[in-house]
Order: sequence, then structure tokens, then C-alpha cells
Amino acid sequence: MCNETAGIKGSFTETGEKYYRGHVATLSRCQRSTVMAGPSPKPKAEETPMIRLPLPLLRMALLAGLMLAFQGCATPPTDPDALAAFNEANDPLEPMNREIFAFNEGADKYVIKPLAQGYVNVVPAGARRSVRSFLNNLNSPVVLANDIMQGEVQRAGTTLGRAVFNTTLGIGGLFDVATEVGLPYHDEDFGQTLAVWGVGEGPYLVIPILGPSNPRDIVGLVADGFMDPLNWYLENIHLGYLTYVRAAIDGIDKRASVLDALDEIKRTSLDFYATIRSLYRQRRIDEINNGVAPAGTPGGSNMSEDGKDGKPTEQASPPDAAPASDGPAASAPAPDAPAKASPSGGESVSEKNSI
Amino acid sequence: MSSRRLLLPIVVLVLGLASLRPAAADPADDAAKFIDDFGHRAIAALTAPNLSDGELNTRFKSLFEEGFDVAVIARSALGVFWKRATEDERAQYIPLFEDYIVEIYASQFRQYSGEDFKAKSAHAEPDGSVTVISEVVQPDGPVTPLQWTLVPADGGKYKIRDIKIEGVSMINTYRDQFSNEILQHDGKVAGLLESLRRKTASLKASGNG
Repeated sequence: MCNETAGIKGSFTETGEKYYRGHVATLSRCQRSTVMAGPSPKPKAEETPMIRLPLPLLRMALLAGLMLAFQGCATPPTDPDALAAFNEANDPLEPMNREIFAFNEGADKYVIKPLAQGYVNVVPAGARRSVRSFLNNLNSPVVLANDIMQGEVQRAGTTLGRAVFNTTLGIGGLFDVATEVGLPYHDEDFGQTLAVWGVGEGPYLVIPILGPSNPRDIVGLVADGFMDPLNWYLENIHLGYLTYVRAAIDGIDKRASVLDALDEIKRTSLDFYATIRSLYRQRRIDEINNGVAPAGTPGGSNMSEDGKDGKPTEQASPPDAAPASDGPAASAPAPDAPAKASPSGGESVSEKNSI
Repeated sequence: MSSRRLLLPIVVLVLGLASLRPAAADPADDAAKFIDDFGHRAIAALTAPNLSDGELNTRFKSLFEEGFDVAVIARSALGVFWKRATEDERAQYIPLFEDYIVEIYASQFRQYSGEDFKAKSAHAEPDGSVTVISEVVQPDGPVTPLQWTLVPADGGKYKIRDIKIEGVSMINTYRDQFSNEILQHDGKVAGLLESLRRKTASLKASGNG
């Protein structure tokens, strides 16, 4: 479909110069994400006989990496305004993403959401709170490590204090007594840490089952898995499957917490896919900034009369929004349908949601 | 005697200044009061018993127009495409945007179940707007912080420019959606107008339920 993906590995340098700049940015983003999302050295560790590696999410990430290598990019529009909007959406792999999104919607409808509903119906609220507290407490080592890596001393102290209180007084984490003594829970992950370190998010990606993400967050997810001492322990006492069980319960609990909200968003969105993409990005930026608007962005008033200075990005938005001077792709295979980003799978989703 | 006569004006002056000062120096307090008042008035008006769907929408719309800076919000939500929209498209767009918002949010008040609402803090921003943080407290549930951006309006009032919940801004969410819709329609604003028309009609048809 998309001309630039035919030989994403080899053709980049030869044809790159012929594209106008927006095209190149997209292409290089495709390229980069292919590299980032498939952490190729890691699988080799599997061969090491002594210590077994926890591999819960690695396969998923590899799968995503493979799909990136084979799937297409969206065709950037030629019109400058449309191109600016296209770059802001930062979703060059939209056709592929929409297909995975549609798959995820099906999985949600027939498996995940029913499980989440069943969970809410069967398990009383108090017990569900304990499950959440327990899972949060299990996650403490990872949160603590990321707090430290981000140089957040006070938040690291909070996480440590919480783990101590909740593991002891809270009976293994079943009760969140720490919140009541003024140590509320906060989340951290390695994707956020990378962002704090200045790593860009890369293009938007939808991962099978796991949903919205980007290369930075995929790397973060895998790193967090490796960082977690519990995963190593379970793997080495041959109970590695418990890592999956934990992830599944975590996912169902999180899905259960947004049952009504997600229905409502789906009902009212012009395009469910695009809304989720927007929400994911905004939430991540907020999480990266620990809920505090970054300096220079007056809280919430990130708009101007003509809506030019848009979003509270934690990084500069793509600078190459303007097309280069050599006109719309003179020699390169021209983008034939300017702004039509989704040739096939995408439309079915957007159609379905705009009826 | 004369010292006594002097005392009264001094007391009046001091008291007067003291009572004047907070009001004059802190627009943030006014804005917080505005949000508190507006929020409670909205809850009272929109959760009144036996409201018909039509009446609920009418009430919501008039509150929305009163409290929100609708024209600026609509324009910001169109982002870069505002300046390329024709006069005719702009004239169609603003009421369509408003109808869409009314259809989405008015029905939310059907689910109201005693949540309370209060402004917690407020501060002025360098750009002249005021940020108010309020909380929605559910009877036995989590506290959701809401962040309001307001700008001063005529008659000592305020207009709401944006609402943020956990980092998600209303304007940014609509701008992303609308940009996407325009991109899906060959960069044409008319495509968005058609989508808005269709979506609003389908929301209206499906009622509040």
C-alpha cells in the first residue's frame, strides 16, 4: 500500500533525499521504531542456562517489532495545514495501528470486557480494593527503582514507606494503610523514566491486547519486567506463569475501573481510535510530569485565540511541519491520496463509530 | 475628646482596607467562588426531578453559554483548520460544535448520584487566566480533581476556557478528534461538519440512555 514501506530497511538512504521533509521524518520514525521495538539482543539471554529470564512481555514486544517491519506507513498529506495536523498526530503507522485496534476492540468485546464485568459482579468492592492494593504493593520495587532513576527522592521515600507500612500493617499489601497516614500511591514506570531522561516517545503504536503505546513505552514495559525481582524469583522457582497471571489480573482490574467511562467515550467519539490516541498521549504526558504542568505551560490554558500553540507536549513537536521547497514529491512516488490515512482497516473502525 | 473623634475614621479606614484588600488583590479567589457557584447552580438545575430530555438539553445549553467561552473554545478545538475554514463553514461549525457538546454532556447529569463539588484552590497564571482546582467527591469513592481555566469577562464575571481531568484537557481532546476527522476527509473542514452533524443526530436519536 504505502510506497515507502516496500523495503524499509534498504531503501531509506537511497530514496530518502527525494522525499520532502515531512516524508523523511515519517520514514525515519518508522525506521527508528523498528529498531527500538525489537530489542534483538535480549532473546539470546534465553539460551543462558543458569538463570532463567522472565519473558512475559518480551515476546509481545518482539511481535510488535516484527509487525512494524512488515506493515505500512500512512501517506502524509501535502497540504501544509493538514501536514502539520498529521505530524502532530504522530501516527505514521496508522493503517496498521487501526487494524490492531480493531482486533483489540474485538478481544475486548468478547473476552476482556466480559471478564472485567464478571469481576465487578462477582467480587465485592472491598475485595477488589484489596486486590488493587496488593498489586500496587507488588509493584513497589519497580516504582521505587524508577523513582530513584528519575531523581525523585521524596517520591522514592513515599514508595519505600508505603511498601513497609502496607506489607506489614497492611498484611502483605492487602490493605492500603499508607494512604491513610498520608503516603498516597503513585505510579512510575521505565517509559516515564526514559521520558524524564529526554528520550522521545517515537510514533504512536497500538499493541495487540495491551493497547496504546509507543516505542519508548514498549522499551519501558520490557525493562520494568526485567527490573522486577519478583519476576526473576518466580521464573527461577519454575512458577514463571504466575507473572502472566499477575499481569492478567492487573489488566482485568484496570479494565474494570473504566467500564462505564470507556463505553461513554466510545459512544460519544467521532472516531474512537483517534480519541483513545489523544487520551493516551495526554495521560502519559501528565504521568511523566507527575501531574504538574511543566514550567512555561500555564496550567490548562494551553490554547490561543487561533489554537496554534496547542498541546502540552513534554518535548518539542515535530519541527519539520513545513514541506520543503522542492514541491510535492516531484520525483518520488507521489502520495496519491493526500490526506486519506487509512486505506482499509481504519475506515471500518471509524465508520463503525460514527454511525 | 479630639483623639476619640479621630479614632472612628481610622477604624473605618483600617477595616475598610482590610476588607477591600483580598477582593482587589486576588482574582483567583473570585474565580474560585465563580466556579463553586456555577457548579452548584448547574447541579441544581440539571438534576432537578422529572426533567424531560428536551428541557435538560435546553438548560444545559444555556448554562454552557453562560459559563463557557464557547466561541473561543470552538475556535481552539478546530486548531490549525480554523484559519482555512470559509466564513460559511465557520458559521455552520460553531452551532454544530455546541450541539455536539450538549448532546454529550447533558445526559451525563442523568447519572448524577449525590457527588459533591467544591473549589479547593486557585491561582492566577502569567497569561492573565486563572486556574481553579476543584474536586468532585463521590459519596464513597475516589476524589477526582478537576482543573478549570478561566478568563475574566465583563461585569466581574468569568468565562471557562478549558477543563482538565488528570492531565486530559477538553480542548486538546476535541482538537485531536477534529484534526483527525478533517485528515480522514482529505483535509476538508466540510468532512468534519458532516461527521459532527451525523454524530449529534445519532446521539440525539439514541436518547439519554
